[in-house]
Amino acid sequence: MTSTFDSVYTTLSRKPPLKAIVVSTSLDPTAIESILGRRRKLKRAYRGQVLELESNLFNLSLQKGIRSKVARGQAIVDSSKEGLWILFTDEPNYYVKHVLSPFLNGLYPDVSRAYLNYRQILNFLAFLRETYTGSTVLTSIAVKRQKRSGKGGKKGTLLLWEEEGSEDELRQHAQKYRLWIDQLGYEIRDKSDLRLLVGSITGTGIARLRYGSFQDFMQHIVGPLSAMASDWRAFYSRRERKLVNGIVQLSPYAVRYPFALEDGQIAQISRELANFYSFAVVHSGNPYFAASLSDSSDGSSFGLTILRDAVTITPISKASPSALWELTNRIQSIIGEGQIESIHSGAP
Amino acid sequence: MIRRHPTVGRFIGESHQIRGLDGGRLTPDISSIFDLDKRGLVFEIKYSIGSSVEDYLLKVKRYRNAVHGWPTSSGQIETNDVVLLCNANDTPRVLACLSELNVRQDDEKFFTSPGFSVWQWIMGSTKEDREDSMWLQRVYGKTRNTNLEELADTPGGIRITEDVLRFLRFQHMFVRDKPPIQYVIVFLVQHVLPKQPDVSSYDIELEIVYDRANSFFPGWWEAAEETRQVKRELVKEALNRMVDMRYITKIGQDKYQIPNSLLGKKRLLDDVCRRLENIASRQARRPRVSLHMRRSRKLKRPTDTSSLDRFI
Repeated sequence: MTSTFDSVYTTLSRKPPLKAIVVSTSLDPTAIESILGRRRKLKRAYRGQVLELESNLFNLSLQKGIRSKVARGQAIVDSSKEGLWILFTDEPNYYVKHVLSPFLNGLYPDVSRAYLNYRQILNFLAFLRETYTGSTVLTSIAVKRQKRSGKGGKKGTLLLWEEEGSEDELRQHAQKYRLWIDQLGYEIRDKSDLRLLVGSITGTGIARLRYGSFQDFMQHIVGPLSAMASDWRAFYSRRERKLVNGIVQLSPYAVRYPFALEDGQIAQISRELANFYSFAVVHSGNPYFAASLSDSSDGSSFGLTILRDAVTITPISKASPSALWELTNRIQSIIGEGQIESIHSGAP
Repeated sequence: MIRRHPTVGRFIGESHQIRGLDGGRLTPDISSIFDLDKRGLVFEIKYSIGSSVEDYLLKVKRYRNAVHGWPTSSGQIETNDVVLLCNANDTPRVLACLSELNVRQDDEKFFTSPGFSVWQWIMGSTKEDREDSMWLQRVYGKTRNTNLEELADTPGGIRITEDVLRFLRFQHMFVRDKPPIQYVIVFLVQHVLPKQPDVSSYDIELEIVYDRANSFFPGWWEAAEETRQVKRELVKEALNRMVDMRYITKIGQDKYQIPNSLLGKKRLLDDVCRRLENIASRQARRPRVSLHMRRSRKLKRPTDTSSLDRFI
């Protein structure tokens, strides 16, 4: 696989980029077929097959009928990293957008996407600059934005280029607007201005390679991306409400914003989350919003509170990392991306 | 607050049961002991006080003589101090009512004696950290607990940070007071009933539901059989009401069948309230006649059918 991709992507020719999709799961890829058999919606839409190529490497063939046409393609699933799969495919973007990504979304909660927000992507960018010290790292950041006040969602796409100081500009925008990151494009050139690596990373954990060595791509892009996904999976793990020697232990965390959330935005969260979760509002805000919700797909349940600039999620009886990651992403997709931080449980 | 400041006293519990001189049971919101287990200190906390402030103050007065049923070697204490904690919006009404009661002679001067105090709670933030907190401020009287009084003298009052408030919200879902039935139903569906995505429904016994719900009740130290039965009845009542609402099916003595579709219901609280309202309105519409009367009415035929026969 390495030598094939190396030779394909170090020659200049028109071809679909290589996509590496990082997803979080504790299952073996062979479980895909049984999940496909169990879930009616997936079963109706897809036909799939998983073949073991070698240890921790599988071939996933998928086909889906889209408007009287059949879209089919393949992906290689690497399950060597604990708690993660990395799917590689060089199929066209159409296949990834309309077949593979929706399929992976449909595997939730057994498999969950690795979501990254703009702060995490900026950390990634810093890492990239550190790795390629001495080389030129050109970047472009595509973001959607919305005014801080008001309840509108993502709007327009703003492209910030390196020449204009994309990171600084992004930080400035984060002070004025609510932001949602689309993707980070990168182009790394060596001292003699020869291209080393060209590609992009999206907020849904998809890394694209347009040009460059596959080994470099794995080492400097996919490796750190999957390490980041592992760290965040660990962050969301083991957060259930526990009873230890009769004392309740809670592990809440918060999504913090650089501005206080308005009533309209709180109402929007409440309205939109109610479409996905069993949702019950305990206190409807002004100033303290409190609700309890549960994710029926895996039985995770959470408490949600909003006060000033922070949305706090308190996992309750069961809380899988997938469910917490998904909920956090949903909240951020409604009101913008914030800073995620673990908070002290405040046991009195 | 008491746990964070052990010099104030020993924390006994939430809704801990004590007894008055007449043997009547009382359950103040927070109980503690100080002065080598000789004196008690109870807090009665009110989110908001309704129309009758006087009734409420007279109820609080009953705690003064509640010196029995304490977890001390003798099972009793010498004196009991009372702190009434109310919202700042209610403070003027409480103070006005106290002035009235103090003028009267029939109150045995309880409200002016040492050992009774009124505190208020407000929400606010400091300039430094802008973090919202609850502030407890003394507005009337004093207790005999000098350490507590020192704490209450802190400029601005005693600060309870937001993380503590959040912790308290999700630590336990119940207090001793019986919650509204819709609250218990939503709690059971969201946090207690297990999810089994691969089956359309499953059977579960009341005892299992109760066991799973038990950790959400405060661990009252008097975990007597009576308390257990009260909690169990609360869960049973909610399950039976869910049967009435056609959410679940009763399939035996204390055994229920739970459809998975219930656990995926999106706007659960709205749906629960709507169904409860429907049940209530159906009950209100139903004429108050016995089953026997209804049957006899149905079977009764018109005595004179001649006009009808002619028409046919």
